[in-house]
Amino acid sequence: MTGRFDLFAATRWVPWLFTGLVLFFLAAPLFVVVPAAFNNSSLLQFPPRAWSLRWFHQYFDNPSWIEATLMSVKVGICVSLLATLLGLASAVGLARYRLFGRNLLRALVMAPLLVPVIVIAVGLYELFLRLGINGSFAAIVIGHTLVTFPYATVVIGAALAEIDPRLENAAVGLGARRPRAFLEVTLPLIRPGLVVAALFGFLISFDEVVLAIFLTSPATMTLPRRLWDGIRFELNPTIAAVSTMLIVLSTVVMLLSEVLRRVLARRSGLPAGQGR
Amino acid sequence: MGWRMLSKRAAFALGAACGLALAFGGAGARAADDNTVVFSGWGGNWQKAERTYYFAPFEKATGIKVIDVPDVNLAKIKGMVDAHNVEWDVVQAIGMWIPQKSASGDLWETLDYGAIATDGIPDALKDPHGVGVATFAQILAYNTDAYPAGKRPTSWADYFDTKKFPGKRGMLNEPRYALEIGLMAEGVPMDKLYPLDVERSLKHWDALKNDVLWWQQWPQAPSLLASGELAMSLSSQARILGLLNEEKGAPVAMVWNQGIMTTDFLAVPKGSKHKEAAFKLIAWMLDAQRQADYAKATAVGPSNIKALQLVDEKTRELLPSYHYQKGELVALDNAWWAANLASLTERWNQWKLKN
Amino acid sequence: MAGYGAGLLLLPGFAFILLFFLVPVGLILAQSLFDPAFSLRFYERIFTGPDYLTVLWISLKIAILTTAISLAASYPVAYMLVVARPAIRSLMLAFILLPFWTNVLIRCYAWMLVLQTKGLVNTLLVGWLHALAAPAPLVFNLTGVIIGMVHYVVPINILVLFSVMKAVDLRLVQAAKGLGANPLRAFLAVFVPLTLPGVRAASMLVLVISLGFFVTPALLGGREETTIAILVNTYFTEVLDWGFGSALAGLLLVFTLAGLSLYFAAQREGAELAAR
Repeated sequence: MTGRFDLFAATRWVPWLFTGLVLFFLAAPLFVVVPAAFNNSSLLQFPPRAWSLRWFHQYFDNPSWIEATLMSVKVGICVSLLATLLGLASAVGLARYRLFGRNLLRALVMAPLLVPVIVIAVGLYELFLRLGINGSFAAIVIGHTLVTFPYATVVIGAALAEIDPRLENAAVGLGARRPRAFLEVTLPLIRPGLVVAALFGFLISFDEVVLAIFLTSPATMTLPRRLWDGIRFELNPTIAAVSTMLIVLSTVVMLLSEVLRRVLARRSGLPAGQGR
Repeated sequence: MGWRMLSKRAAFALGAACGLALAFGGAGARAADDNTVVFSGWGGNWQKAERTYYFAPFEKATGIKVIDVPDVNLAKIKGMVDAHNVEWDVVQAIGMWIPQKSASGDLWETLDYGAIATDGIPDALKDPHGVGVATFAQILAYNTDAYPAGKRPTSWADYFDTKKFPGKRGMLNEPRYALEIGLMAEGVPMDKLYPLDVERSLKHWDALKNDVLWWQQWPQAPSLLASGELAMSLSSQARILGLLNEEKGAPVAMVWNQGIMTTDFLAVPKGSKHKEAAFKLIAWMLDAQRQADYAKATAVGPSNIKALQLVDEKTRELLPSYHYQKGELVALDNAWWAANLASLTERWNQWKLKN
Repeated sequence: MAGYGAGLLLLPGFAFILLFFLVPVGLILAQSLFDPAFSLRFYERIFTGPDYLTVLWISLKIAILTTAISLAASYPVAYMLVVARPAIRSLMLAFILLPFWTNVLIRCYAWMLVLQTKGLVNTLLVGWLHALAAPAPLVFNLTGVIIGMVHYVVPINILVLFSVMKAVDLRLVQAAKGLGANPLRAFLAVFVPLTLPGVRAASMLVLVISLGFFVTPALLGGREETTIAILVNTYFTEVLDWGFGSALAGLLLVFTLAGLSLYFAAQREGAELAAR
């Protein structure tokens, strides 16, 4: 390729510029949300009029906000695990299932996203009232798993579609049992899909409010549900403070894991005798 | 390798924790103690005030524990009535909900007015299935920077007069209130509004419809008015007063004249497990002195007209009930709306989508 | 390669869907057929009224526009994620996850402040840059809804595409380049076709989300942006006419599921033809 004008190299900045613009677009609402967290006003407004930390005080002085945050984290983790496991089983099943009705089954997985969530909320609410588990931890986890399960199935299914089934078959042909071949060959290949599915499970649960309104009780109140409290009269900017803290926290976690990754990478590169 | 081991172990620990939480988290959700009553209100600071001025003294006086949960919701009430498992005993319901029905019939228990003293409550607020407890006003609000003193809107006719009062209008994207407002702007007297002449009102709106910002959620209006995005809009007196209270000098003002008064009712969902205690709590919340104290703290209008005599002049000026008595407000006709809501929602969407 | 285990793998996921979706939501949706005796009255109302098909069309228009724009924005970013160095990738992921940390309701209010006539964008364009004579109408119309919806789905879209692209063997692209193909052609002829399953999965997911989501159209739309999901919400929570609300939801569900299973069938046929 030498001696020829390399179009791709000369225009490498174009995709980066485009990427930068998209990322900027994703961050755009934060130019309003973050200042609102430090604004003394009860309105979301821009530009802020007077700076203050009152919404952070509001958060930390009020145990119910902190409890709601912890509850959201707990629910999110459970939903993430459940949805990923169910999604993995279903995606693998759908990829191998070759019988009648397969297309309908694949479409059916998407159904919980298609029915407006208010209908699901009402349906589950009546079911849980009859089962006597309404307002319990299980109720909200089940509700959120239902609406994140389609994401997990689609993501993992797409990852599976990408890999060559002959790889796993080859392992079986070499004498490995099917489950072991799956665990050792296929699973590592679809790991990005699993991670993304788990991430969706957590994040979507963390932000969901309609199901939470119907399926939580004061004892299982999640963060978005807490935000909803009193919204008939006021829009509470405390949530802007919460967002700001979550952004800082997630950035710190991201940086730490990056540092950890590097440290581990360096350590595993050490001569065997010096390792543990 | 270490990284992968770590994530495997973490996943296992999380899974175990989750299983435990699911297994034991289910318990404890139900506490059907006989000596309790569950109150469902609208949450926020106002429900906090209800705890201070109503529930805490009630618990002390009767020994009945009040569990108050936030954010009542009509679909939830229908759900629990249909499922025959009613979790709430007293509900602070929007007036229009009282005449509505569930699939299986009535949504509400019939109130026992023998057990509920209603001294001072106007007859109009006494329904077999609910009794008024608090009043609110949906009013015309405007940005004071948009209109200099002396040239400020005072009626819904001014809202429609875009020549004399230029600037962007905002309105709730629903037939409720908009239809009343169209007719009042046309000059229909407030006591002759109901039954609403729907087509006449829509015709009046036709001229303005394309220039209105049709918002969907109540918190939008004060925010859009304060930022100057809207010059005039429907809003609620509670939100505007709250805003002025919070933000000294926010460029927003409101007009009492031709406002629409709505009433929150106390009602007992059909199949409540603590009916007797529920009636006791309702009676407690109708008391003039308690409503007066609550009004002083929140500027929510009392339903008991005697309460108006028990508050100072400054507070009275803020209360919808007072302005209603002065003849400035019209009361929303709950029965008419409950009967016509379905067909009007359809007509409204049809009208709105037509260019 | 159909293993008899496939059915077993499908069991947990579909048992979950049956128990917590088909039964409770089906019971609610069945109300559209009973009034109280069996009747098609509600469906007649949908098809005889002139406006409900308009609403269906508006919903589809919003969903299709959102899907197309979000794919165009997400695909290059997902690709850059794959080729970026790990540290850069972590940084990009942090940006992509940013929107999730802000509650969707607050995000809509923030967009209002960014896009309104006295908002950030218009102040910039009109007041500072003098690029426009008068503020552009960016919100409370279709533009606002599309901006809000695209913002909501782009992170999801990017992550699904990323999880799939990660599995593509980049050496194939290198090989094509080595064989003399220009980099852009190598990318288009080798890389893009390999990612098509992922593109299809992601787009389907985004389309379905856009059809069922109502918060953003309700807050950022204007007079004409009424979607089926918004109407279902109104009929369920305010009018309390669950029969008609269910008919609307059922219509959306049946049409989309039928569309999806036809699509899957066509896709499979296409794959089989290609394999032949």
